[in-house]
Amino acid sequence: MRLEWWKYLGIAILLYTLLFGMLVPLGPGIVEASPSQTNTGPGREFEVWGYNTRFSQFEKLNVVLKLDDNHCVLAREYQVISDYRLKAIFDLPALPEGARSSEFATLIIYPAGTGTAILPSAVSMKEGYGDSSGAWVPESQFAFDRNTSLHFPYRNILMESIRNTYFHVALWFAMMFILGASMVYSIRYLRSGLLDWDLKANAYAQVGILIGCLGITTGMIWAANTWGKAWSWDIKQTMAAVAMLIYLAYFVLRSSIEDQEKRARTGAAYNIFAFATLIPLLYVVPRLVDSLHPGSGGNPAMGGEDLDNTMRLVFYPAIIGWTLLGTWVAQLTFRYLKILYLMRSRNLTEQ
Amino acid sequence: MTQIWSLIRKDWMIEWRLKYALSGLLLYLITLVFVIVISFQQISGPVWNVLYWILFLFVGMNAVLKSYQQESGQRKYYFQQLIDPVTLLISKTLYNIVLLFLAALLIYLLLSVFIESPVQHYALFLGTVAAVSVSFGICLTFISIVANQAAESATLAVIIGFPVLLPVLITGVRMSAFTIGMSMGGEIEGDFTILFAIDLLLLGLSLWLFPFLWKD
Repeated sequence: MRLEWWKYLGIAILLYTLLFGMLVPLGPGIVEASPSQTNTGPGREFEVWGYNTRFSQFEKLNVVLKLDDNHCVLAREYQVISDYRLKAIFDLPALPEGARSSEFATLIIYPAGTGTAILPSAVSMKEGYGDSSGAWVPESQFAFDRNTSLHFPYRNILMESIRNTYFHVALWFAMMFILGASMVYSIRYLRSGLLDWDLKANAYAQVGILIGCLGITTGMIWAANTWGKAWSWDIKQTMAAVAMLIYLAYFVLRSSIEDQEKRARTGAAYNIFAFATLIPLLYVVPRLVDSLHPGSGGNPAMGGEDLDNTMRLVFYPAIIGWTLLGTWVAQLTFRYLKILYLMRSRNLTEQ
Repeated sequence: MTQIWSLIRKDWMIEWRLKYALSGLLLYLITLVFVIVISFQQISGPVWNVLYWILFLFVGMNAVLKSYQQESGQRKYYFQQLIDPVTLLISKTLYNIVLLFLAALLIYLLLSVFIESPVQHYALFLGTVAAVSVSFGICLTFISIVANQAAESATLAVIIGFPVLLPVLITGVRMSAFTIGMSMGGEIEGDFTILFAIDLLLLGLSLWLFPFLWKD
């Protein structure tokens, strides 16, 4: 009886990913502040819409506009309309020296719910006319508490779909591990000449492509909701499709060679070659070109602000969970392929 | 070294004596250029750039993918007795690189006869063409060897060749876009480095893997 604990571990981790990833709420956030353009001067009024916020629960809110660490301004007064809506009036001081003609300010509200609500580049400020009694104060005057409870970060546009990180991104990582395993089995086949290794390489490649298709599908659903189109020929999308084509070519190659031994040898050689071309395809070329994906074209990369510590608690286990599940499926596929192979060779000898 | 040289010479002699291969290539090229010139009339810089590389892709595949076919059958057993597989692979790759480079130059000349070429930095363009030829040569030689293991080798070569060549092709399009004065962001030196790294990786792999495909 072999130890099969890792299968249970994989399932447990995936259950944990589903539960934790779906149930933990998002932190408070700001959907919109209006108007989004203003001139400096006294009595500028803004209306703010929040998400997952509890404005009416707190006696005193700090509504702050922030240009940089040394230039913040607190609202003169504010009026809470509902938990998700408030109006704030600022006395905006003149732009600091050395500022550009218009500066983007971040809107910060604390406490807003289970933490601080932030909207980057909320308001674009231009130099206005009229004196103001307001003054810039450094950010250190306010005690913004960024994490008061368990929640995923709120990001505009992404919103609740940020949970897809545990599926789309984690699946893609798992695919790389599974395809890597397939390549390792191909190397072992070339070294030893045992047909089992080749069957394993084939099984792992099949499962890797299955996971890749799932990764692309979840990515397309995500893109449809955030970028507006499921497929926009983003460089990483294109490259992912090409990567799938490379592996489909691997299956075509295998099926077009009759001789078992020759098929195994050619397949193994192509598999190693294909995995090697996958690395520039997925990790080098996309970095050169503008992309909608995080990590290029000025978008923040994974591990930046988009992946906070609470998300790490789910994201890393999710990668392990998907990889373990993929390994399990690949083992089953391998056994199936082996039975097929044995049956075929027995039929041949009987004839 | 002398072995490599004589193998390359042998390839060239066969190609030269069987005139149909070379003249077929030339005819193919001229036809393609004609079709492009007639159907486009006016070609802007970016379109020229893309068309150039598509031409190169098709002509290159045509030129190289058949290169290993003559090495199958009887002659293969003869070679297996005589030479080291690594020597054969190096000679094939070198021959194909030179062939591709010449084809690329020919495409450029033919195109610029009919259409004013938008290239501004000739040295850079030449470097780009040379670098991409090297990558294509390495890739296509290996692909033609792999595809030759199967019965339907011509179709298979195209199927497995396209996706593998795509990263190189995209880098090539980017690099020559620099030379016609379009900025794609970033530095062209970075692209050269990437192509060089891909070349090294693929060359190492094909040198390592070819002996496995070679023995029957």
